[in-house]
Amino acid sequence: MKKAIIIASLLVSIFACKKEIKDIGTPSSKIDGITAKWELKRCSMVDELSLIKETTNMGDFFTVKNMSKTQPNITFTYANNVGNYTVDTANVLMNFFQSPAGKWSFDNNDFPTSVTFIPTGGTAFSLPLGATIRTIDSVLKFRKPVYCGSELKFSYVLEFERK
Amino acid sequence: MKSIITLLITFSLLSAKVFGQASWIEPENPDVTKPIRIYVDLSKTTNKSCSDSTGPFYIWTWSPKEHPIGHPLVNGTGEKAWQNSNDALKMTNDAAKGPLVWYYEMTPTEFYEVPAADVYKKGISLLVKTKNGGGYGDPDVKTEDLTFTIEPPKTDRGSMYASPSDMVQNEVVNLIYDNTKELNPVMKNLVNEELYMWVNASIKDTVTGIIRTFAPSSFLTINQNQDLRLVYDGSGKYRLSMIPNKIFNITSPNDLITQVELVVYMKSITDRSDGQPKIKFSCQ
Repeated sequence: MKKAIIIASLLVSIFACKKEIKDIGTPSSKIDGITAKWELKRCSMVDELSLIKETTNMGDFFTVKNMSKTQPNITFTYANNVGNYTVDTANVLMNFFQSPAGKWSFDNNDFPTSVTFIPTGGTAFSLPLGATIRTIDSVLKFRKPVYCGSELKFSYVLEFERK
Repeated sequence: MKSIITLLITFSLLSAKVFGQASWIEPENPDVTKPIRIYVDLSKTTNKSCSDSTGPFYIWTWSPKEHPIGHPLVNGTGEKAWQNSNDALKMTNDAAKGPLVWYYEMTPTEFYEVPAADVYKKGISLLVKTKNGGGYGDPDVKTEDLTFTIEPPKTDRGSMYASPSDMVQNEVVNLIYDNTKELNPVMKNLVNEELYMWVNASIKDTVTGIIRTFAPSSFLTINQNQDLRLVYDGSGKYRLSMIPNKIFNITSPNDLITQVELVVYMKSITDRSDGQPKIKFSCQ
């Protein structure tokens, strides 16, 4: 009898301690996360040839200093399983996305690490994402490498703010 | 007499500029752990015995190291090595630079199998010859000894430099003025001062070869051009960001910027930086 009580007590305590695993919900759609209008907030340049990867912050070049110019921007849309992007290039000092419009896609819609751009009339290219992008994220980060021939020279680190 | 000496000095300087050099290395300040090209213009060497031949030509090198017999990069093979240059050392004609301009491409540390420090310390010494360089009673067919001194990379970038270090003319370039290294006493210790950078680009037309210069503003009017105003970063450094094609008004794809000259001025333009560097563009 005593043994039965002990066993029963043990069983009760085991089940009582068992944590209830709550459902954390459906993962945030990264496609929904990126579809928005984005405007450049910060920009820095990384010297890839430098031993210490010297970084120069020059965000004001596109934002504060050139008040007469439109800031680099991009709008992502997604419909019928096709992603499109547009860039307002009027007075933009530099268009990081080659053409005013084109198509885009993630390398992996659930766990994207890069975005592939197919500019209209241009050559497809990919930009690594600096971080994941969900609907709650207000910043979209890209790293844009610049080559001379086949040699990587430097990279732009671009942070866009959701509008 | 004084005027004759002046004339002779002027002529010798002019000759060097007009008639060019017999040998050089590209890129100009190379990293010896990366590929370089050693150029020789056989029409300009002192010993012109090679210029009578149509080639091919070969390098014969001994510094920073000469490879021993049996090595795949030994200078020559066989009993009379001087008359049988190694085909691995054959040069390539660069007719675009001149009918008698030949080059040999190598990565010095790999070619000589020495550390970079040895290449910087000893330099590269070689001569150019035909496959059968004559000798053994016949006249030698070769250039004089050619020595290339290669400066090691500088860790001190000076008071003005570009970031990134390799500039691309249709991308953003940051020209940095490090005021903490300023030598002009009047320009020292400037904190958040209103400074302007005079920039002057040398632009080469790749079709005609003509080089022109272009400055967005003269030094007298730079303080009226906000595109040339420097931004203070709070640590003693100032920065001018620009897209070279835009600021130097380059519209033709044939136009390549070869270098940019920089001077920093106070707003009053009565005082200027001690340094006036010429920063080269390498991506062309």
